[in-house]
Amino acid sequence: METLEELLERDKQRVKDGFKRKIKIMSIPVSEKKVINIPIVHESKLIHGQFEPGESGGTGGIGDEEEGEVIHEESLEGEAAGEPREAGEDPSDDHVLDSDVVDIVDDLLKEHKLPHLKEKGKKVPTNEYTYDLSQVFKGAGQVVDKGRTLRQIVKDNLAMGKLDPDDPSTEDLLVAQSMKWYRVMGREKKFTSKAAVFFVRDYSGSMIGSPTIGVVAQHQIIYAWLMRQYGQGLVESYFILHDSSAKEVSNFDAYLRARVAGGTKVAEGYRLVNKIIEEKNLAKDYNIYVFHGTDGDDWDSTGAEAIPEVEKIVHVANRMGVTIITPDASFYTKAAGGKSVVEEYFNKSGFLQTYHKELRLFPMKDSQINMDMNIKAVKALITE
Amino acid sequence: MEIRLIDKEEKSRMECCKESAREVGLVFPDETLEYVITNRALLGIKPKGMVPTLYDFWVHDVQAISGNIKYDYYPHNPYETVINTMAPISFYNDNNPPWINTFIFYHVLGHIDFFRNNIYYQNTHDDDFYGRALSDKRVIKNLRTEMGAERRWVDYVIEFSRQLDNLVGFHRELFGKELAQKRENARVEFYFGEFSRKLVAEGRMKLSDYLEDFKLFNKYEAEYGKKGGEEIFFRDIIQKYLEFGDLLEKKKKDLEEHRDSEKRTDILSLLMNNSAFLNKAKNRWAKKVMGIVRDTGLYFAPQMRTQIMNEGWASYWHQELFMKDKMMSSNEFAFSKVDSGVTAMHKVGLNPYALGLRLYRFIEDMADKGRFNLSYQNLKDEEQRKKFDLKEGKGREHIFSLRRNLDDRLFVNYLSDRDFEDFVRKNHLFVTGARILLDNSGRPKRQYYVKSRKGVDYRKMLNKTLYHPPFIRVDSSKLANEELYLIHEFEGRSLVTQMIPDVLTGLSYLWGGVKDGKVKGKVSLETTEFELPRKSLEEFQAAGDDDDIAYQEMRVVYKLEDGNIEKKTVKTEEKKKKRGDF
Repeated sequence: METLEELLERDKQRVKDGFKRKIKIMSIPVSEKKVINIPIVHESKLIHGQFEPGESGGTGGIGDEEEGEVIHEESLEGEAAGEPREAGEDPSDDHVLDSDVVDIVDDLLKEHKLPHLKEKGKKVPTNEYTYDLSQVFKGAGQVVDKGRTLRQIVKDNLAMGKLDPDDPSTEDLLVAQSMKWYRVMGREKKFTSKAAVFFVRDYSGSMIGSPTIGVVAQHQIIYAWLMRQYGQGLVESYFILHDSSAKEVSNFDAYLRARVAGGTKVAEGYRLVNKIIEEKNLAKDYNIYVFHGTDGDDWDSTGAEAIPEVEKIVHVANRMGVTIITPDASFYTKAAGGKSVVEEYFNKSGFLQTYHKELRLFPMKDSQINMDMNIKAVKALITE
Repeated sequence: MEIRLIDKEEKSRMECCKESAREVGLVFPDETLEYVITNRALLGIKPKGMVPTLYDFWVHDVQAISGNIKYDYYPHNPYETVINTMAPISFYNDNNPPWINTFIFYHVLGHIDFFRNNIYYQNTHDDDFYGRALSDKRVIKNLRTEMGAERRWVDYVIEFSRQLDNLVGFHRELFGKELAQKRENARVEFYFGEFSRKLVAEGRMKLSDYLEDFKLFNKYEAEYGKKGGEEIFFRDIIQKYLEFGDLLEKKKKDLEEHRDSEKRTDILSLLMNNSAFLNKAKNRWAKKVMGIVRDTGLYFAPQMRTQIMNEGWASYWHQELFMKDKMMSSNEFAFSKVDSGVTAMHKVGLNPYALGLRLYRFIEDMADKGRFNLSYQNLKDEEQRKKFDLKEGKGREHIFSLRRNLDDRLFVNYLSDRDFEDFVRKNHLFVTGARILLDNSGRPKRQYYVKSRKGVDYRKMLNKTLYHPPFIRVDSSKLANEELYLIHEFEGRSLVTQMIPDVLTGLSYLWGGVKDGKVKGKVSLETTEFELPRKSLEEFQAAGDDDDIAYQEMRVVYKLEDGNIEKKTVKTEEKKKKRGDF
């Protein structure tokens, strides 16, 4: 059986041979906060898909309900509303990353580590190993463990009556090879602090179209990079959407698929981040990262509400990275002399200088959105 | 230990199960192999269709890797799996308690009986597929070794052939002999089957003369042998009916065409026979690989067409036989729990185990009461129908004949509409529909509701869920021009369009090879697609059930030439449907 690395190598070779890459990476939620990445391949075939409109047949059911009676309802929040999935359309395709994102992430991994990683309280084992004289054996080994050996000698001699606790003397002590404890070189799992990552996305009405596409692409790359960097299961992710109010959604899929909604209040998103950090006491045990994407529009045009929340975040977070994608012809950018209101109040606050280590801002125009620019943005947000 | 044979004690229990199964009429070989397997090992062979000896292929490795990662978070316990091979092989979970294994033995024997007796499996009845797969696996392994650094091309050929392994002419392979026989007897079949019947219908021949002809034909055959008798009989006929000769020629031509068109649906064989690229001496190895993939596709084809029948049959027998087994006492509670997990109908959705089981039981009951006859079928009165019972007791016999002759499509369409209505009503079944609505705060929600409780609707829905590969044939007139032109006969469903470019690229490689990173074969696919107007949810909601919603149906051609793919619309039709149908 080939290893995943060999398989990904094979996938790269396909392009040179004249074929498209096949391996994709799918993120699946395994608990409320944990998402794992698995490689997937769809084998293409000529098979039946969509029925003629109006002809799709539904499915089976059992029970005594009357015709027309509703048996179940589910919210479509987080799903592209109004566009139910077609029969035959692969539902998993919505939240898979193309394997070229894997390459981008690989490059990022070579160049970038998690910024300002700190030792935090709670540690968990990783998939990495270190070698240490960590294992002990009795009777044979590499280095004598003196303390443990002495205790063993005392214990055994006491049992044999060779040692009087009231009048200890070392002269009569029996010392056998089997009483000696040794330390042996062993493979140990490395422990690391966990990370809590907040993805905050502005999904207000003005985000429609390219700003959303840009933010989503950048957050996808960051997300994949974090997952690879930290390993499966070490990242706890929080997904927050905000328009004029903020809400948390349960997984990345819902986060990516949510459609645009109402007006904009950036502070609401930040407030929810702070609320979660406080409620779960994340600052104690976790390295915290916050990534926010917006078009720079905000009803709170001076940042009077947002800036205090930003200050709270940068005090506990290792990094806060904000992407602002302004539409080329935006009312808000003109009003603020070419800069969006969010960029403007960030600049005025002076935080970008004061908290240079923790806070990064990357403004760009929506006409600039392409993969190269997205990578540039991501790099700017995650560089030390 | 990942895989081991079951121990002696379990094996002797299996032999006891076989005895009980034989007593009720199940037919299976004496020799069977049972293995105990860990869940992890099972994850490794799942991508190979549960056949551990199947050829190695990197896509299976990817699937095994993700299966293992998922298992870390979602461990699960599959109970059993059976391979249709000679001797039949079955796998059992390593932590099954003895009573579960006994119950599964019965289920497995049901499957083996089905594999060995259903006619859709007739080409695999004596097939040691397990061994054949192993030797195929070695062939592919040797090819990889021979090709050294270029061995990845073996995998491309496997991949591109697998993209077509549902288009391998399954029915022609299955009933090829019967069809050939039909062609051989074309003259006799045509005369008695069509020609004379038409004469009778038109009043040009008396029914008595028609019957006389039968007698005469049989008499000649008895006197002068099969061939001689036929010759003498038709010498007269040709003189008597001058048009017979011409019509027979036309019929023969139709049959020939039918045979050709069937051949043209076996896309993999057609490629192997007609691709100039594959038939170059240096590329012939690829045909070997394609042959293996095609055979594997044919091997799995009947299983995909008999899921309801096969699982229903196995479930029927595990219930029948385990309930009489001595293991049943003291395990009644646990059994009912496990059994209902397998054979309960889902509140929403379909469960082939449950549906198959209920259909067998319903039909068995009907046959026991002698209801497969005209007098019952013509009965209109509900009360009389309920009371009708001729006490024929032929239920078992009846379902045994179904398990021999039907596939899923014939099975779900076996009962008359009226009887199927009774089946749906008895089992409280309904068709579930789904619609999208806005809730009070304007947020979208999906609502599942009881769409119909009618038997005809339920059956219509079932028919749509059955395995049915598209009917795609090659336009042979374009072959001379070195173009591979595929025509998809539209049957009410478009193809999964996202997959078309991949499949065409693979086809293009198998048809013309690759040069400078571009596939060279000229290939096209003609198919039907729809375009719905993009309406906002609010607009869609605002439309009443009786409002028309318009859409376009288009005949399109995907064409791949010099590595570039383009789609052209050749015909557009405007269509309308009532909003309520959506």
